Amino acid sequence: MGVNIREIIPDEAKTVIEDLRSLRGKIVVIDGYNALYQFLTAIRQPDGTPLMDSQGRITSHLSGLFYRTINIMENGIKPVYVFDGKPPELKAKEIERRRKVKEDAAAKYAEALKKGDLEAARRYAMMAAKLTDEMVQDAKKLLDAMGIPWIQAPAEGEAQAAYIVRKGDAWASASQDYDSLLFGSPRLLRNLTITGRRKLPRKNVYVEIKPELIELQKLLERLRITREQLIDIGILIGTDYNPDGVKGIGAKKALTLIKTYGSLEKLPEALLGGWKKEELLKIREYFLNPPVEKNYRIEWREPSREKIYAILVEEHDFNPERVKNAFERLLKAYRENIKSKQMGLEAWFG
Amino acid sequence: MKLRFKDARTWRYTMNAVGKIIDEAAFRITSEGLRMKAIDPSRIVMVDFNLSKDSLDEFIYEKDEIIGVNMEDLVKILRRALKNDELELETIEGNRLAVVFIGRGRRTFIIPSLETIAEEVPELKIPFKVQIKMPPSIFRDVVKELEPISDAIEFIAKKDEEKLLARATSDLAEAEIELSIENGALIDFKAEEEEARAIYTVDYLSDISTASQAADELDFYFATAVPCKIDYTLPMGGRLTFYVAPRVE
Repeated sequence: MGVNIREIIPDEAKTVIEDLRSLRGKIVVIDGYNALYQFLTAIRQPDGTPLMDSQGRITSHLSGLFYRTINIMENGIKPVYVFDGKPPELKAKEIERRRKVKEDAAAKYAEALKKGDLEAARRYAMMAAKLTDEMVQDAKKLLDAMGIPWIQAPAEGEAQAAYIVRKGDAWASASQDYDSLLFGSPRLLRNLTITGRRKLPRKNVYVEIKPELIELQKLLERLRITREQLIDIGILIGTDYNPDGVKGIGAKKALTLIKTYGSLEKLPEALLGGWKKEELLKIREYFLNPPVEKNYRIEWREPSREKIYAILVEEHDFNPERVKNAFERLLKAYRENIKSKQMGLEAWFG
Repeated sequence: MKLRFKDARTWRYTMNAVGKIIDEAAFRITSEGLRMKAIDPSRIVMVDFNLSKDSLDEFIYEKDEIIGVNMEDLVKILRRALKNDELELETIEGNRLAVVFIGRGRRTFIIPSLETIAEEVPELKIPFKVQIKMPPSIFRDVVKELEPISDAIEFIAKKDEEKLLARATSDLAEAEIELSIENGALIDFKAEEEEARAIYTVDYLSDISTASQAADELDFYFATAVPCKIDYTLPMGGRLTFYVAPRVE
């Protein structure tokens, strides 16, 4: 679920992106698992049933990936996806916890459906949603057909995304989680793949969700901490590698403690709630030096109508008319924003 | 502030084009007249609308002010402008703007003035090498004819031959329009470069060309791979100028 440092992010480090067009020409590395998981949970019928093809295979993730990516490209953004590889050993506990949560949610979903409680059913269905290897393979195939580059990370996708942005090969990483800041991404774009009207859980209220940019340098300057200290704060709150963090320490307290003592090493053992310091320092080391693929290529190609049709219409029963219209939008976006480069006027500001 | 402009339809057509580029406009009123400069969110098009006090039939200036307007609202009202209507704009109490057509009767529409902070739009520095004067209707026709072919138009100015070529190319078709003083399409042609070439996205040119109906003259400036400037001279001496960033292959 990632590290939750939201509470301590100063307003000065956040910018709401009112209009996606203002990011025209920028390369954004999207956390593929994170995006697919969001599509899978959000694109559902009122009772929580996901979109499916005639053979009962789930297609919510493909629908979201296809239409949302086109929308992003129409605004002039150049997307690149990164996918998680083998999860690090450190993450075993979190993976087991997630598995358990999903198992429980699946049981509760069945129960809610039996009772006819659609609201609860939808909620549990979203929690129980599982992104399978097959779905990820489908998504990669679709991206290939769309001519959009994707990069296979050796381990954490967010670490890979952060590396690409730090190297200057992309402008920002996009994810809902804050981990890529801990991995050192200079810019994190949240809400890119879920922008629009969203229903608040358990309420009949819709809110407008807009993308939000978080800038690491501004965050560190404003909080007067280093990136290492930000990682230490994250570790105290809890990361995917130590899920619940140190008992009794929330974001604000973690910030105060790290600013007072300077680092995890200097923090008195008594405050660590039973954690061994070496264990926590191993996590910091991972955030600072995660395994990443250094040889990657970012290259867009002209989308293939035949391949897209084969996957979406022939294999998964998407509406041919809708796919045709969307394909034309994709082709136009590719030609206008990627094949030829639409310049901005900035280059001629006096 | 109160101003009166001779032809309400000039406003109708110019604001129609501006409304396609930006959602909100901030009109600055100074002792010199009215001016509105803005840049679209993707920073591809800049617009500069300038009515000096001399171009106005009546201009009552009290203080410097900024009138923020929702363009959709303004365009909707201006669609009511008829032939021979004059247009009056007046700021009224409660932060509102009265848009009045004076012709057959006096028709008043009142819209709220938005709390707008007029963004400082930077000045552009563009080394233009070509300046071409043409009737605005020619420009509109060029865009209209090439729009179905491709999503971009390439302009090529040939100094020696004193002609401007407009080209559109797609997988399916190619089209070329040749414009010169000789064939009656251009009024004036000046070029400092042997051959200047630049490509612009047709959607922007199409939006901008809707203002052609309002204008007396059009000056088209460009050079190789730089933004173009489309400068409309409006009746009574007003100006509506657009700058469009180029596309590079």
